[in-house]
Amino acid sequence: MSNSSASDANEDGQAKRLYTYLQSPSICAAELDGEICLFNPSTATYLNLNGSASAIWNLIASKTNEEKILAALLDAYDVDEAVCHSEVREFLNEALEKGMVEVHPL
Amino acid sequence: MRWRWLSSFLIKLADHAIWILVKLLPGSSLIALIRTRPWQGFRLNLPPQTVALLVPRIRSLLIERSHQARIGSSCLSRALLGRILLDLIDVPNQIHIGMNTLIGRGKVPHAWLMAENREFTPGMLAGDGCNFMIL
Repeated sequence: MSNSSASDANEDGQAKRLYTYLQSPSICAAELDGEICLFNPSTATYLNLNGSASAIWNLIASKTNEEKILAALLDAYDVDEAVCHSEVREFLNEALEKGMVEVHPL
Repeated sequence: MRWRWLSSFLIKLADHAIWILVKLLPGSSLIALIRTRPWQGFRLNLPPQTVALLVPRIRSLLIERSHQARIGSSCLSRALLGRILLDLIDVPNQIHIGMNTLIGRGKVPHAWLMAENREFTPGMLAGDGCNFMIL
């Protein structure tokens, strides 16, 4: 591993611990066919969550950092860690972009 | 008969204009518009018997439009049109925002108008949707 990739991995690991994620209180959420649908009333945007994203949404009902989200998902599902990490990142990025999730420093 | 044809034509025209507005406005402005109802300043002070006559006609025209409209209209444009018409004659109404499950289309956002405990535009299919909020 080169120095730069080692420091990237270190920064990534720190970011996983330093920030917590929380469901935005203004978001309307409802369950439909076993999956969660979100609606942001201030921007009129929707987000349909698949099974894994629904699980992440439930985990961030209280302030949780990315490391704990990953650990809970890896514990609950038989899934590759890299795949799980990329799905968590993808969901958090999209949800943050649409104002569905709040991020707080620890 | 002529009244029906003319009012049906005007409803189509207004629905299409609102559909364009819905397409052009950013989501936040659209929600603000639905909430603030700026058209309420133009409210007509009609006698109750005239209002009682107009309400079923408005409902019938909106339902007819909902069943016919394919292009240049949406559930939200029809619900918003109904809200404007009902607000103008001072009839309380609610726009429901939700998600419907449609065969072949998956989960689709849906809006519908309720007034006097009845649907003024087609609402949620029984057991196949969820209701997010009432505006």
